[in-house]
Order: sequence, then structure tokens, then C-alpha cells
Amino acid sequence: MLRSYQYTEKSYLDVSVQNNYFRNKEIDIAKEYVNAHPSSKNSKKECPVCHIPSGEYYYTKWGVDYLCCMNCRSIYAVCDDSIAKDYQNLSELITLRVDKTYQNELLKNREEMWGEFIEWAEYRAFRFLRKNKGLNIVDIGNRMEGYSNMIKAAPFCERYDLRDSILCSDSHTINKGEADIVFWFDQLQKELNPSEKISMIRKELKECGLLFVGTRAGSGFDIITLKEKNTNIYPYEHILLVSVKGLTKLLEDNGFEVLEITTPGVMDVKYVKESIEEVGDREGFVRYLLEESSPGILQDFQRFLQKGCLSSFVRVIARRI
Amino acid sequence: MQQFNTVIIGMGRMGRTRYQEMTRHGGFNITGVCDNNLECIQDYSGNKYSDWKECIDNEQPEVVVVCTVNAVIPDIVCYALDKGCHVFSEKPPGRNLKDTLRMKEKYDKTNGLVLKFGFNHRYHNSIIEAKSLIDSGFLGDVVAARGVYGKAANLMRDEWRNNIDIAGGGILLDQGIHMLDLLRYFVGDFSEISGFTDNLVWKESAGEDTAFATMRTQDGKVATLHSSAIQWKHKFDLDIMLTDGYIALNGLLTSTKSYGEESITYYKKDLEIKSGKIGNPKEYTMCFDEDSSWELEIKEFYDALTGRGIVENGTIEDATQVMSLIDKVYKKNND
Repeated sequence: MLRSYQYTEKSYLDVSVQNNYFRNKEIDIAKEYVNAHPSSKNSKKECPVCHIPSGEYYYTKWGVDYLCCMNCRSIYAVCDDSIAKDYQNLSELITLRVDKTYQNELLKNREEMWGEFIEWAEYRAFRFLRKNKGLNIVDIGNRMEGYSNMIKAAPFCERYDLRDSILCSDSHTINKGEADIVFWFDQLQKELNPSEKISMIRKELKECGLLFVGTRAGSGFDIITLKEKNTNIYPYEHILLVSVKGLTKLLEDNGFEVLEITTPGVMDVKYVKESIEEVGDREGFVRYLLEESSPGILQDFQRFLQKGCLSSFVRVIARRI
Repeated sequence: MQQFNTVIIGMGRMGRTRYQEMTRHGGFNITGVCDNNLECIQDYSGNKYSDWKECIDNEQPEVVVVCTVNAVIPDIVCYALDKGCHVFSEKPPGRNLKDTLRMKEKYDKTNGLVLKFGFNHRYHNSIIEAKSLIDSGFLGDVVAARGVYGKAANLMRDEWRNNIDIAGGGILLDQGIHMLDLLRYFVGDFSEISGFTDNLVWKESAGEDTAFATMRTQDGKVATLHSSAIQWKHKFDLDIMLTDGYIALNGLLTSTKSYGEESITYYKKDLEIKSGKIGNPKEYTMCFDEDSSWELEIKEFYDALTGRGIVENGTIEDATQVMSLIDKVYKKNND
């Protein structure tokens, strides 16, 4: 398995990939829904990755308990699956997210990042498939129209199907077992039954086809440091925060060989810096580091997180076996 | 799994490494080991020999693995090929081009036998990634490369490597050969070479402690090599310039980790300064904490034996080309 990291001289401390107005709207909708649909304390407490009751209390956010699996170090919410699923289908949330202005803001803030991802994906496709032309791509759960359009137009893409997306109804030009690559980004964090979902995804792929997964990682710096004070992580938007170890196990247990694992996140330090006051003296060293260090040192620290697989955005390439 | 009866001639460090890897692979039944130093083989099961001819004659193996000093490699390889054995031999392919051509001539007369030389660096993760990156066309075409391979060596120590009659050369033949092979692998066959060797520190040594070479392909691609026994620390750096980007390979993962962390860094040219700073394009780095090179090399050899693949790396052609370059540098030095 390869371990890698991405680095740029560009500082992300003053860069935002989110529009605050829309982000606050999303948080308000989520909070209101959680308040109206509290999870039962008797909900399943098994780790969704290890399938054993190995979780210990980690923190509570908006009345929802999060546990940390002592086996794989993944973090997960104690909540009812049906309530979490209903949250995903909440019409108010979907209406907000499909709105033209919302989508335009995403494009404005993330176009460069998406472009870099597509170049990277093209190279990695060649590395593991020995071809980067004429590929069948299934994209699962993508809710960013600009991103979807860029993938569709990418030089390596022959046929493109978007599934489980709020943007449109499923397209089925690629049959089961015909996909060269499945993209599954920012979805795993919403799953309490990830094994079931991964088994379904596996069926989409050709023998030796590639699964590209990206998700928030519970082993990442800002998530472990900020816990319930993390303004970017909340129920029921994030109910499973797999660790790097947990994600590897999840894929290996469900018929995949993990080829490459990275945490190319760029925002950990920024997120912690923004909320460090909330944490108080619980994280004395981190507070000192963030308050006293120069921007250059903080950039180096983010690089260290990437290199050590310690950022909270994890990306994996796995091969169907 | 189909198993091939195998003998290993030469049970020094490389012989032991190959023994372990072939045992782990499972496709080789090692029936005999041979070394003129019996202490080296006393702990191994199977038949033990101090004479390589006797070993091959008695065991009648399907595969002969040659891990001896340079001077006897051609004799063993040619004898094994004559006996109808497949051969895997360590580098260098003999002490000089004449040795290599002798093996080539012998091999060309065989039919259906596999001959592979251990240019192991090609199986390191950073090299595999770089080759894939180049082949993908993502960064354009290779136009130039610069390789530095150095170590901290005592060329006056009493060992075979420092005996010119046995080794055939100094640092260029011993270690620089790997970098030359990689430069060929990434840039192409060189039609011109100029260079020289010298003893900048180890004045009494018969083998050189330093070699510099500049090469050019028929279509104008350029490469330079600096091979050094007086780096005073282990160093592996290979820079590759392409029409649309750059690749840097730094460090090499070995069992001692003395060459540092193995990594590949690449970037696309950014003349529009998308990264925000001129001369600071966005870099992507991969670093590796596993060395699968021995395993992959043996797998390729085994797949060629079973007909499931071919020898792609370390062919007799690779061996001849790289020894031809070394021969030219040594000849220029003696002119």
C-alpha cells in the first residue's frame, strides 16, 4: 500500500472553500432537525466498521452521543438509521443545495481544487489500470453540479453515470460490473451501514476496477482536537468518521485491496485555529502552537499532518478483488 | 504452484536475500547452495557445495541463481546456459563489456531459456511511479535527467569489491551502473557518452572513487551521472525534466534505511502562477514505507519461467547497453 501526501506553498489559512451564508443555513436546518428528531439512547452502539460494541463515549453534540471505537479508532454517532436517512432526504436541505446560487458558490470556491483532483485521478487511473482514456465512470452521491460536469468532460471519461444524487435521477448507461472507476466522495460519513453500501458499489465495478473514496476521517487533527466544538462536523450530516485504519479494514473486509491511502486535507489547521478559543486549555500545546507560531510553521504543520496521514480528509484508491 | 528446482551459487549478502525471497515466493525448490566459504552455507538445509560446477552437475537444476563476485559470473552463467538451465544473475553482468558479450553470445544460441540480471532498482516504488507518470504523458515528454548516486566507502578495505581483478571497476561499475540503467530506462538509449573517472580521495585504490558522465540520445535527450564513493553519506537523487513538468526521486528504501526516505515529487509547470508564487508550483509527493522490490523482481522472473510473462527488466540487452556505456567511460579515461 502506498502512502503519499500533497503539498503546496499556497497557504489555506486565509482561504475558504465554503460560503458562510449557505454553511450556516445548512447547520440551522440540521440543528432544527436533530432537535425535532432526537436519537434514542438505546440505538445500536456497535462500531459500524468492526461490528462489535467496542465504542467508548467520546462527546455529545446537539444531544447526540458520539462513540470512539477502541478497536479501529473510528468515531460514530449513536442514532437511529431511519432518522439519519430521513435527514438526507429532507426537502428543505435538498432545495437549498440544488439552488443555482448555492451551486455557483461551490463552483467559484472549489473549481481549482476539482481541476487538480481530476488531473490526479487521471494519473492514478493510468497507474493502476494502465489506461487513462475511454473509462466508464460511476459517480455516487455527488451533489456538486460543477464537479460532476468537470468529471463528465474529463479526458479519461468515456461514459459517466451519476447515481444517488440530489442533482438528478439516476442515470444507467453503465451496467453492473461495467464500471472502470467508481467515485464515492463525501458519502461514507453519512452511512451507518457502510459494509452494505460498499458491497453494492463493488458490484458496479469490473474485475480489478477501482474505487476512489474520499471522506472525513475521525483520525484527523481537527476532529480529534475540537471534538464537539468542531463547527464543520455535526449530526446527522456526519454520523461515521472512519479512521484511516477503519477505512482500510472496511474496504478489505468487503472485497477490495487498498492500493493507496492519503490524507491530502488542507484545512485542519485553519479549522482548529478558528475554534481554539472554544476548546480552552483542554489542548494546551495545540493552543500555544496555533497562537504563537508563524504562518510558515503552521503551513509546515499542515504538511506534517498530510505526510503522517493525520489530516481529517482521507482519500483511498482500492481495487476490486 | 509449479516449482522449479533451483541452486544458488554464492551465499553472501545477495545470495541470502535471494534465498529468502525465493523461499517466500514458493515457486522455487532450492535443492542446493554453494559458496567457497563454507561458513556462509552451514545453516542452510539442502545440499551444500563449495564448487559451483559440482553443484550444477550434481543437482541438475532447472534454475541457477548467480550471486557471486563479478569475475566468475560469466563462467557460471555460460555453463548453466550450456546445461539448459534458466539463469538469474546479480549485476554487474561481468567485469566488463567483453564478459557481457560472451554471455550474450551464449544466450543468443539458446532456445526458450530465461536469462535475467538483477537490476533491482527498477522495482522500487518511486521508480515504478515515475515510469508510470512518464508513460501516462501527464507531464509531457522527457527531455533531460540528472542522476546522483553516492555512498561512503573505504576503497582500501580488504574486500573483493576493492580488488580490480575480481570486481573489474570502481564505484561506476559497482553502484553507478544502477543509475545508468535508470537513466536509460527513463530517457532512452544513449548514442553518445563522454565522461571520466578519478580517484579524488582514495589515490591508492585501483578502482575509481568518482565518475562523471554526460550522455545524449539520438533524438537529443540529455542525461548526466555523478557516481561517488566519497559522498560520505548514502545519497540517491534523480531529477527528470519533461516538457510540461518535473519529477524528483529522492532517497531509496533499503533494509538499513541509510539512503533516507524514498519519495517521488512531481509538479506541472505553472507559468501562469496558479500557485500564487513564481517558481513554486504545486507539488505532489509520494513517500514509501515498504520495499517490495525483491519480491516483484523474483515474481517477474518466475512469470517468465512459467510463460505467464516475459523478462521486461534486466534483459541481456539492458545488460549489454549499460556495460557498453561503462566501457566507453573507462576507455576514454585510459586514452
